[in-house]
Amino acid sequence: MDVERSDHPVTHHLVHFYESDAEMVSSVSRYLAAGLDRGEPALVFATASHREMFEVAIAALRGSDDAASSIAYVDAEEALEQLFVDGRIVPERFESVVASRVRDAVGRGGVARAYGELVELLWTQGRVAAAVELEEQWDRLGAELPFKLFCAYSMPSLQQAEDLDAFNTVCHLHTGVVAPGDDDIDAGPAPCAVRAFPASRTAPRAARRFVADAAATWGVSVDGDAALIVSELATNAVVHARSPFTVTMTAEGGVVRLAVRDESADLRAGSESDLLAESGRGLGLVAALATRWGVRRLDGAKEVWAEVAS
Amino acid sequence: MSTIDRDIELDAFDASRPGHVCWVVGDGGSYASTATAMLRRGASSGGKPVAFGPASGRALELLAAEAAVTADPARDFLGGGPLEPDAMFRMFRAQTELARTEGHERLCLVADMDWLLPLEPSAEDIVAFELALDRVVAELDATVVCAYRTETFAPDDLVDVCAVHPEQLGGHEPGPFRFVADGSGWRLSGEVDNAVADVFRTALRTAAADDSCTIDVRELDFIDCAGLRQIATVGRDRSRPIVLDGASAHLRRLWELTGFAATAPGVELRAD
Repeated sequence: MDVERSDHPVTHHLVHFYESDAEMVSSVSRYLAAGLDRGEPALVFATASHREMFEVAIAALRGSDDAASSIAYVDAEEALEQLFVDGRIVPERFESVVASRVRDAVGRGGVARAYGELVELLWTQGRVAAAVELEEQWDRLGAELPFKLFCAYSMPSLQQAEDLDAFNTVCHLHTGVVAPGDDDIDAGPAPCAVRAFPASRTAPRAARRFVADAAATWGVSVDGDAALIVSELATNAVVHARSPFTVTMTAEGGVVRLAVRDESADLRAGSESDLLAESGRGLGLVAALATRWGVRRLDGAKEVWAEVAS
Repeated sequence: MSTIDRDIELDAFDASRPGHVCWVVGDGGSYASTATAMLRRGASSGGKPVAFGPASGRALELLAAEAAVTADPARDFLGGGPLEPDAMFRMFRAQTELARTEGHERLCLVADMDWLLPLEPSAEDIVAFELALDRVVAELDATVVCAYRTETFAPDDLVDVCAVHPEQLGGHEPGPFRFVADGSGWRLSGEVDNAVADVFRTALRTAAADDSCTIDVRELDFIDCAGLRQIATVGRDRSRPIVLDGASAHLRRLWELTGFAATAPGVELRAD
């Protein structure tokens, strides 16, 4: 899929929602290592502990530790303190803390590649409006300078309606969502769409519409099976887990993958056989229609996924 | 409701042809003036203007000048007793015959459904009543507007009630599905899922009260497992099957995969 927007001639502004640090480190390191292989300058805003993990992982990927000198690291927590006064971004400080560094990196040669944890830090501190404001600043910079930006967010806990709105806003502010397990971001990320839904009785219908719209946008044909699968999984989240939920849809290699993640920490619903017993024919039908399906236990949450041919 | 909204509702109302319309009257809506205009239109296109409403309210009085007949069905036809659709429909047929002997083409009825309130019907009762009425309205070629006020009916109940009217005026966007009379059978359209399973079951039960029950499903865009389960449950014990006419290949496949094909022989899926 071409994720470049017409008003973003060069920038890729990708977001990856991760479940574990290991998943995040692996995906960010691959992104940075691929840039180093091509001689692209790299700029990383990360916490000290993540920086260490990236250095180890990138050295392992490239078989050398010359990376340390090729990547400009900025401590994310310090940068945040400099950026904000009374909870608002100061434009001049965005210029000195972020923009000037991106400009330097771009000046070192061609397209730069940035990775930032600033926004995610704000997000996890509950400073959602500030996070959205910072993403918008990055977006404006992207219209001006040729660089790729990668953001990683820990998959949020969605208990409030405001959280759902903020989450969906974050998705919209990026030019693309990196699919879980996508290991070749540079080839152009696989089509992936994520949306959060409330625990309401009309949400399954909205989830069906979301899947149909995403399929239409990507030019992927899905038959009634995909609608039925997402509907049954969404209904289970609403009726059994009584939980807001996210739907992640990806399409690659003739396979459409639908994953519904709810906030149920109920471990009785943690195995496939229990889920089948609990929700009766709904999940049985998913199992019958899907070419593959399964359940992932997550921290305080679970994800039921299913694949169909497109 | 603003004047503009009211005009839009009126513009969408075609009094010159038979129909069964659910009119959702918003909070603060001026029911009486819009209903008056509807009755006037009905009268000018050959209908006999009739107004129903609760005797306790003022709206019925306000409509007396425009309507040839005003009545509180609960008091005048049901004697304050329970909601008996058959008693209502006997009266409805008699009124239609009378109107025709008077030279009118049909009845043009505007009903303030607040008349139901003293009977304390459940949402299920109302759905069953409206669905039976839908059949009678078609049979008698009448124009019937059922006005449900958002002040007195809960939002979820209004979605349910709209689902069993072929047409809708005012209110929010149409509900996900519709179940209405269609010739000698019924027609199901739109999307049926777990959220509307209860009202769907009520509609099915009403339809299945007929000895022969054929449901046109050509316009059914989506049905989930919960929806299929309602069909299986209602159809399970019938001697003559419920026929789903025009069932798509997808629907027939789901019916097999869920196992209902084996456990609910009282339902027949007929392909085109």
